[in-house]
Amino acid sequence: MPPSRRLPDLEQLLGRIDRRLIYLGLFLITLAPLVGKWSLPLYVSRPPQLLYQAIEALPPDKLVVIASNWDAGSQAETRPQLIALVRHLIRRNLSFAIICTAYPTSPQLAQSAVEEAIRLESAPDRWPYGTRWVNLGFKLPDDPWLRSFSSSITGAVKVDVHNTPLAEIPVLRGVKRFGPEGQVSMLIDITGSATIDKWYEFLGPTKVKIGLACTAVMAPEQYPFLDSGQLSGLLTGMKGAAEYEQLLHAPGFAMPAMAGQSFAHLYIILLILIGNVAVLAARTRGRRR
Amino acid sequence: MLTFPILVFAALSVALVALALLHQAPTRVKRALTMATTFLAGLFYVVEFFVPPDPATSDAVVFGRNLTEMAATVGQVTQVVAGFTFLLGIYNLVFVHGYVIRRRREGWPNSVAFFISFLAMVVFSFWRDWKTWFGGANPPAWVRDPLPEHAARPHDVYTLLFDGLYRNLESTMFSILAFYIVSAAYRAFRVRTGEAGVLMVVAIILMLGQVPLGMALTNWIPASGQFAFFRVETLSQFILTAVNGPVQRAIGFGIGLGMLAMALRIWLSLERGTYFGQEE
Repeated sequence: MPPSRRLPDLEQLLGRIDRRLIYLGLFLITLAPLVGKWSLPLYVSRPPQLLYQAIEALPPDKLVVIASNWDAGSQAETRPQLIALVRHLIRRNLSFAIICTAYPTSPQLAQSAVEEAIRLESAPDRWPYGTRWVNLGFKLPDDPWLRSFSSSITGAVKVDVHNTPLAEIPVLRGVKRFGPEGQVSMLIDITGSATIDKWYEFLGPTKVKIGLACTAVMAPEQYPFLDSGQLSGLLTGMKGAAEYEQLLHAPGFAMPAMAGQSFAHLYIILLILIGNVAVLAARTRGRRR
Repeated sequence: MLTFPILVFAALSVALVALALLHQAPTRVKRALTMATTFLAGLFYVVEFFVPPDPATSDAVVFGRNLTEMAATVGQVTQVVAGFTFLLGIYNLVFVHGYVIRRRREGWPNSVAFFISFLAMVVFSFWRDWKTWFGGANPPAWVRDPLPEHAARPHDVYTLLFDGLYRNLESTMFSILAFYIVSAAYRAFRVRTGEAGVLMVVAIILMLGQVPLGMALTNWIPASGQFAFFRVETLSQFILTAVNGPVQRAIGFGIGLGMLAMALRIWLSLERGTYFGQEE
């Protein structure tokens, strides 16, 4: 007589689901809200509000430095952050300089994002390159260079990304130092990499305001700095970008994309629960026996 | 116009000769040189930091020498030294993939793809920006599109390679992570202990607190008053600031102390290990 075949339990059955089906589910559930342009109400949390207020309080005659340290891998989160922040700076009539210290490809990605922000604000005539903003290109983030950049911007960078000497760039005329006694009022690091710690280290003594927009996975490490006031504000991933777009009343990429992220999070939570229901069922059955 | 390439060539020649001489030197000489360079480089920044700054300029001046201004020059020098790591990386990639192609190792067509994409990027990047950096004639329109109406999306080969291929390929590579996370969450996240249960509850609150749909689940609770704490976004912020914050602070202190000790050991050449004296 053939041995009797025991029916597989729930955990085994769930384990047999083809992972490609699970992937397909994620793909469709993320795509549907984007294609259908579904929108969901968004609540603005405190860290983006703090960053917004910090920029609102900046003096109009000083420069803002944006450290654009992201590459194409994290652009879904960081590019909308940069665009939203630049739109705010344009509305506040604050000139800015871009510097990149994490990826050699960042200057070009930042250039295209800033140009898009300027187009979205219908300001190509009011915000010409060199007069209102400048791209200082990529520098290797070794400590000696960061140290010299924090004490003298024009001493550490000689030419912009187009090889134009800084002395010939109007927006940088007279700009040298960070901080209340210098010509730079704030540094905002938009990053997909661990770059912010160096800014705390080297810019802390200058008392310049520091803002951060980072990928969601990096944000938990930054809450102590937000509490201590070393960080003036924080944007967390795509959510941070969406909240900032909401604060500006300027919907961009992030606000509609949050619907896709919402459903993806729910899908993952659902999968975790289903997986654990099976474990719970097996445990209960074991106890009964 | 030729001055710049001549200077680059001269600097490279001097660097190569110095490197060859160092390579031939006995180990104890190399070690003494490394220790002396490390100590002096560290000492420069210690002195620059501890010398009281000039009240007028905030610069550190010692015996008439402005150390703060010299720090900018040292910063430029380290940029050049660090730039050589890129050359080392390129050499390594070319060597590894060249070896794979020569030996027809498994996956050699991938190595051919590396050479094709590497050369395409190098050729079109230099061609596009050659005039900016080295002067000469304008590149053709299919290499650098000059039309202002195409400013948002230039119609040239470089843009096709960078925006059309590189950006999308890298984004795709990272978005694959989302699929792995889903698979891991489904198959590996099992609540078998009390700690795992706490982890799951916290993870779910944070995941819901990060997205509008999650926040909408509790938006029927008044935003102010005694029950406001139970709104998912408030709970999420509480966990991030009141629970996560102190833990991150403790980790930060630990890392900071470790880094300080490590920095002192390296500066004073007290460190022992693979690259610090064990090669003998």
